[in-house]
Amino acid sequence: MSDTLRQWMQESLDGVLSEELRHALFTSLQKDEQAAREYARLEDVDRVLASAPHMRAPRHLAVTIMARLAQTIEAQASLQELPREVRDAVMASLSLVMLATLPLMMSGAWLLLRTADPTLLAHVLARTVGLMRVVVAGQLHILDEVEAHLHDNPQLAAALMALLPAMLEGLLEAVEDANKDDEA
Amino acid sequence: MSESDATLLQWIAHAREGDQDAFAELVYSFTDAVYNLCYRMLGDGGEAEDATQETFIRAFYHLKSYDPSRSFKTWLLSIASNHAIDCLRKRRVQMHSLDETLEEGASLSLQSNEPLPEEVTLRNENSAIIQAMLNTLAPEYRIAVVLRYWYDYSYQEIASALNTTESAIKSRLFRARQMLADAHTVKPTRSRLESGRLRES
Repeated sequence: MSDTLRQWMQESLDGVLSEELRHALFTSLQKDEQAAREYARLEDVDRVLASAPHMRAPRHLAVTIMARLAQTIEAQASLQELPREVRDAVMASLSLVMLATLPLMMSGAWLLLRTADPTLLAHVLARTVGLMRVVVAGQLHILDEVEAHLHDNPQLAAALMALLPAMLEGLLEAVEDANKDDEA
Repeated sequence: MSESDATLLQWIAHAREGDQDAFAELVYSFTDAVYNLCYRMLGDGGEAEDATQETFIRAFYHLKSYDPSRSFKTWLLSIASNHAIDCLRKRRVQMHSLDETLEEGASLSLQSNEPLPEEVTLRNENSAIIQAMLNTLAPEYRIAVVLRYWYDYSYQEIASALNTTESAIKSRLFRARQMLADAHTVKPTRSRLESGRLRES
């Protein structure tokens, strides 16, 4: 079966074959039994597909779509409500917190890997866990305050966020003092 | 321009400005069209609902990129098509992972509340058979068939919706029909079995 004949079959099924070529197609099909069988198969598929029903959307779907859209718009609007300087301050504060926490985490990891003294390790772990608890409690307290003041006083919220690195710095100093006391 | 076209363009213009009521009119007008496409592509009512929602949300946020000289319905169906194809590709990856798990020795339990294939066929024979046939096609072929048969789109309109060429669409339809014909010959419909003959024309 030639490619031209196959193309004519497809175009005939799609209703875009000219009358002249359609006549040529059917003349060819009368002479070629294999091509006629192939066309019958394709025609069968075409008939089945053409008879397929349209699925109707459930009644609630349009309402659901509008409700979801409203939610999406509301969520985006609440994000956009934050003034740019507040968002920048929040990002800067979080970056500083990460930077301040990094040495603590690294020194903890180094101790865990290096120490051969179980008593010292237990002591360091207890102190680290205690310190982390204080840090987390302090951060949560500050974040609660930030959330409370975010809408009515964003500048204060930004200032409170800036306290996070200061708090960590203060804690690290306290730890160093405690270490000196231990050594003494 | 007809009155309905003018109204449609008005809704689109208002929706572009963020008017949700105007967008709601568009949603009500085209939910069935989008849902049908998603259903025929995904073959599952729940997934089709999710995909329809996602299509309209995307449309709302990209309304500014819509060119009013083109058909809004085609633009919308184009978004739905792309999303449905993405869903099918993700599903194929998940199915692949499942196959790997099963190959490792687990057995697939057939205890399910889903009705047996025969029951589905009896309940809605024609629709189920067509859907089963469609499910055998790759996403790119399936979408061409859906736009051709359910939306009566020309090669040019399908190519425009799928951002490809007319010759690519002709080729996809050609191959899709052949694949469907092969599947259809192997699994003849019940009505044809009852009539005791395969159609010869």
